[in-house]
Amino acid sequence: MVDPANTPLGKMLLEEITPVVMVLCTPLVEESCLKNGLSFVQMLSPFCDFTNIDVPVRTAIDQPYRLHKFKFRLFYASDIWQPNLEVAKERLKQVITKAGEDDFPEISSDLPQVNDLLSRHESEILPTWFQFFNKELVRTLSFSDHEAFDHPVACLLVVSSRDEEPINRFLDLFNTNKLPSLLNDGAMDPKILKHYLLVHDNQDGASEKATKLLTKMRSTFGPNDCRLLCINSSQDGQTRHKDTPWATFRYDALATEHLGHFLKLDDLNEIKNLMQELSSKHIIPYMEQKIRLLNQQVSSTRKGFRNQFKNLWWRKGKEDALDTTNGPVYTCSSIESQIRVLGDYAFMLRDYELAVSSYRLISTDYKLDKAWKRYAGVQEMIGLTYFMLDQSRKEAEYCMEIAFNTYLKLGSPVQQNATRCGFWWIEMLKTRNQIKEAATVYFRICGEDLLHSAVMLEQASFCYLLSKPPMLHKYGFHLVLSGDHYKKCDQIKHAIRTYRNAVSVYRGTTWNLIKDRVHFHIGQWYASLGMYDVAVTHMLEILASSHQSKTSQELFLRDFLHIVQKTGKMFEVLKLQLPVINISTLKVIFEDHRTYASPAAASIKEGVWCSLEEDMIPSLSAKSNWLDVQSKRIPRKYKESNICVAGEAIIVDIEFKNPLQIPISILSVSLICELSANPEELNSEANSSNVEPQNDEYKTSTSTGDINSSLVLSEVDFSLEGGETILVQLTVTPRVEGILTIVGVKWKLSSSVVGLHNFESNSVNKRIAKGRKAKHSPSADLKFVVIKSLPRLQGFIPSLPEKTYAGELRYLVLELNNQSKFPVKNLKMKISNPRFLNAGNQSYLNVEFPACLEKKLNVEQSGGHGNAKKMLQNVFHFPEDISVQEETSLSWPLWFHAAVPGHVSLYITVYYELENVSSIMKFRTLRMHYNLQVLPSLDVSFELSPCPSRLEEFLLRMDVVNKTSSECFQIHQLSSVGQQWDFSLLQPVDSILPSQSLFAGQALSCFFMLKYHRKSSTSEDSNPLFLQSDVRFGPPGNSEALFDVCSSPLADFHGYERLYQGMSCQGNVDFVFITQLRRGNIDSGAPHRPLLFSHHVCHCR
Amino acid sequence: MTTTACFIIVSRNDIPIYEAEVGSAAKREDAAQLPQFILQAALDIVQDLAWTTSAMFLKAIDKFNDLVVSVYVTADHILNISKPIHFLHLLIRTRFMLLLDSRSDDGIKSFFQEVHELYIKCEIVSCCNGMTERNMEKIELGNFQRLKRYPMKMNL
Repeated sequence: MVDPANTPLGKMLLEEITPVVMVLCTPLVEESCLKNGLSFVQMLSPFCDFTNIDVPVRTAIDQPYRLHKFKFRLFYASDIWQPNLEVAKERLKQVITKAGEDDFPEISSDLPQVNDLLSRHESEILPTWFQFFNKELVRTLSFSDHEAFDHPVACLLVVSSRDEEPINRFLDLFNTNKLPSLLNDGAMDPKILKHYLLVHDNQDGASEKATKLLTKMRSTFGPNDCRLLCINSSQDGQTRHKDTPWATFRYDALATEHLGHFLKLDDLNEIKNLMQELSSKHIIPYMEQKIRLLNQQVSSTRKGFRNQFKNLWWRKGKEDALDTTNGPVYTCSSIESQIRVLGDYAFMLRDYELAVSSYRLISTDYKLDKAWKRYAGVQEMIGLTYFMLDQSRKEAEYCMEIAFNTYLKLGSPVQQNATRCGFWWIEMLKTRNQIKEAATVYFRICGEDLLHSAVMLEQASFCYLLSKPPMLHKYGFHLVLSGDHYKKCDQIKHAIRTYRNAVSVYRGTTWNLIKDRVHFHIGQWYASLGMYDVAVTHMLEILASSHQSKTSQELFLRDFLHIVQKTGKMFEVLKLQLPVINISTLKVIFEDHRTYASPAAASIKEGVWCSLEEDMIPSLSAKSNWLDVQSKRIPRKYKESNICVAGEAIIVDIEFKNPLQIPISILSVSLICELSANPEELNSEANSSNVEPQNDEYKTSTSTGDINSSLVLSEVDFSLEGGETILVQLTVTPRVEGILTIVGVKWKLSSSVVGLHNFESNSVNKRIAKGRKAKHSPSADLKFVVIKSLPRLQGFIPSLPEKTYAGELRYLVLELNNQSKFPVKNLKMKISNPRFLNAGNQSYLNVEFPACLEKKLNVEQSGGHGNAKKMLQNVFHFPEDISVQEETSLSWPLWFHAAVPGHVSLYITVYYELENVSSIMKFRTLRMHYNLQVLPSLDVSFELSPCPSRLEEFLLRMDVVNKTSSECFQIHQLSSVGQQWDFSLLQPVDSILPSQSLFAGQALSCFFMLKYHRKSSTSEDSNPLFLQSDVRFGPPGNSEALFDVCSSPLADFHGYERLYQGMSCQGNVDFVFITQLRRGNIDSGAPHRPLLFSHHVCHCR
Repeated sequence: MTTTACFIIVSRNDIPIYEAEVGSAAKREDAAQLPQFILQAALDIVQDLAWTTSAMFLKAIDKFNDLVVSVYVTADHILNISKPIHFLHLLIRTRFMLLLDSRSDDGIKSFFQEVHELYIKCEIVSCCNGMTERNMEKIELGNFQRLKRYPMKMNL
């Protein structure tokens, strides 16, 4: 165990609890001293601390011991008053304010790191001004009447040799009018040790006169109590003291080296001797004697069983009479005061055994007398004495706690006492490594005074930091509490300092309310000091706090914008969280040789298109695509990059989410892109080392307005309601060749806050490049090689319905446009679903529909002949002489037949070759996609039963049900396709369905006689499939033409139906049932024309 | 009688995974973060205490002014798991922390025990549903809504 005297508390006590010497001096003495820039007390004070003396002392019971260290304190009599509390507070406030200015962290300095703090020594972490503050706080308590250790032990009377009638001056000085109240009002014994000192200023001449005076004094006041002190021996005032002993007394450090410049070394030695003699020959023996005397008195009146019993009895009787809060008033002659003095003197002379027994004796008396303040004071001293004795540790702490609690109970008048007691207790706990407990005491010291509480809380926080293991949460919490107290006292700088430390604790915490609180306040405070830049960084932390209430969010955002506005600067914030970008939704759509007619087409999986285009694109099937061919021309670095064409937009879809409950509006959302335009260099592999992007790249991020720039970026404004999510489509259009990189996205939150978000390339959800390469380096996903402008076909089908009824037959036109001046040729087309959509013959262009389908007399059935072949290969070749020129459009007829009900996706790819435009890209494809919904219309079924009597005759029953809810179909004709069949109605249509209209929900059954008609000789050369016989429904004399089911397109579609409905085989009979819808309720491209419906039922036998 | 109470479940890596403001006292906007501060600071005390006791319920381990912190630590020192079993590591060393301005230890203890039971159920259900990450929202939507009743019951 360390010697208690060497602990911080021990040192503190040995410094603070020491005898006081009262100084009374004449103005002329002061005058002489002030030549050195020092007062008399200041001049002597450094020499009152003796660390190397050897004074023999005897205890009250005559046990000898030696004092090696001793100290006494010098005070002017005028200073021996309890300090004015208000003045003291004001002084403390100044101390704190100054410390705040000095300790205020630099803006540029990094936030403190907790780990860093933990690894450092205690003394480096603790602000140095704490000690000073604590000392000052304790000092406000000096000279209270209930403690004797501040009561002067001796009086030093000082007169200058220049004074007139010095002897009388000495007598006048100890004039009771000027003495402190402590002596006058009886709190202490006015008969104290007196020492007479004559000061001679050597500048006034030789000291003979002074020596004479001294002998005179000796005869008057006694030979031992008088001394002569000669000062200012230096005539020129040029003496320099290297380690000036007065440095610690002057905090302003204003040229401390000039202090004492008239004092020669001899002078200092004389002072030293004087003080040593004073202490060892006068003060210590005096105190020793006094202790002996007091002890005798106490023993006679209080020691022994009889005395104790008497005392107890006497006090019990007194109990009722006294009921004041402060207890009775004790004069210096009362035995209680004397015991206290005995204890304090013993303590100061380090006779701790005697001290503690005295204190214990008095403590019960005070308790019985209900003199609580005195009781607490004594308990405090018992605790400290035990500490100095280094015994009964528990008891020592217990006493401190009693004292502390007693002071606290007494309330604000003794708050300062409680504070001092707390400090000592804390020091005691710290000495015993009970730092955590020390922190709780700091917390309890906090009184009504906010500023003091703030300092205490901050000290408490450091205790938590320094405890083992460190309690960081507590540390942070107390820092925040302390900061709030500082703020309430307008000590903003201190508040910021504490919060800065707290930020380091709470960095990355998931306790969101805590994080918000800390950052919001420190941000506000920095702003109030005009340090807006730091404020903004803190405010940014809390901007997207979705867990906060609406009002808090409004407050945060408003304050943030306010601060940003005050900075008057433009803030670019990387990864601004307002709004939040959902990076997983990032989708890049671009066109290389694959172009899309609509966004819908672009969102289709690449695999669908690949399988569709498989046999159409030659290079793919040959396993050598254009990229491989061109690999020599494109540096390897960019070989895996995507290709895009100058002048064609790259579309980026990205989702923004508002995390807050309040609406926000976002302006000027656009992509950040870089375009390095040096394709020539890229072409030569020798120079590939120069292709480092830094060397010859220039950044461009321009707005739409700048036509001349090499990039065109779209800008979007939008506003988000609370919690809303929005999908934004942004485009970038490179205008020149080069290498384009999409870096990220930026937006404006307000006029001066720009949010930036860089795309992490590996998270890009790319849809398009799948088919080309198995592996992509992630960085290549947002990097594009821009090649020079190429022709690009645009295509659409104007009147393709979105919703239709099953069976509808429609004539459509495919429109192809070429905007560039270069023609394209070798067009090919493939349709995913030929059962629904078919390319027609060019001759059908501009024909009348449905008239073109009507049966003509001289029918050429050539269209039908080639169909079987067409069906198989699927790819439709446009005639070779067709090329699409600039600003001419190509129209091509298409036939549409809604074969079956359901949702149908149609994929159409148009392949075209480019002529001598680009060496990199030889061909392109146009991809079109349509979704349509086919509703059920008529349900047609046939039943064929052989005639029981005749072999070649059958009875055919047709059941038709109108499944629509509102449509009315006109039945038109039934045709059989297949071998030579003749059939006729068994009964006229009029009798079954006079109006020939099949209303919604209506069913119809017809019976036909089917007869096999053998005509084998003539059918040799014609395809038996395309022989037709018809029955017309309609009023007699109806001249409406029958439709030709044996020629294109009905025959084509019939062929597909046969394929889908089952295997084609001879001997079966197929029927085509044709109806018309005159006034459809359904959306259609040509509302005025009747819609034609054909229902194909195959293989009826 | 007005009470303030805040209930927080803290996971083993000190992340708050469930938070409920309960109690009848009007919530003050400016002190909304105070319960979090107090409870987080109390974690330090829990950490200290956990070494000294095998009890799960640590009553009134810390206080701030008149607010008292009670903590229930789920099994950690009891189960010594060498390798983490699929969901068990979610169950251990979770701390239920309750901040109350009144003390009724028996009420608090039974409240904690009920919550513990509920918590284990929720964990197991969520694990059985194949969730790798604990989905607190599910828990919140489910049985945990019942929590809000308990403190009221306790004070009766």
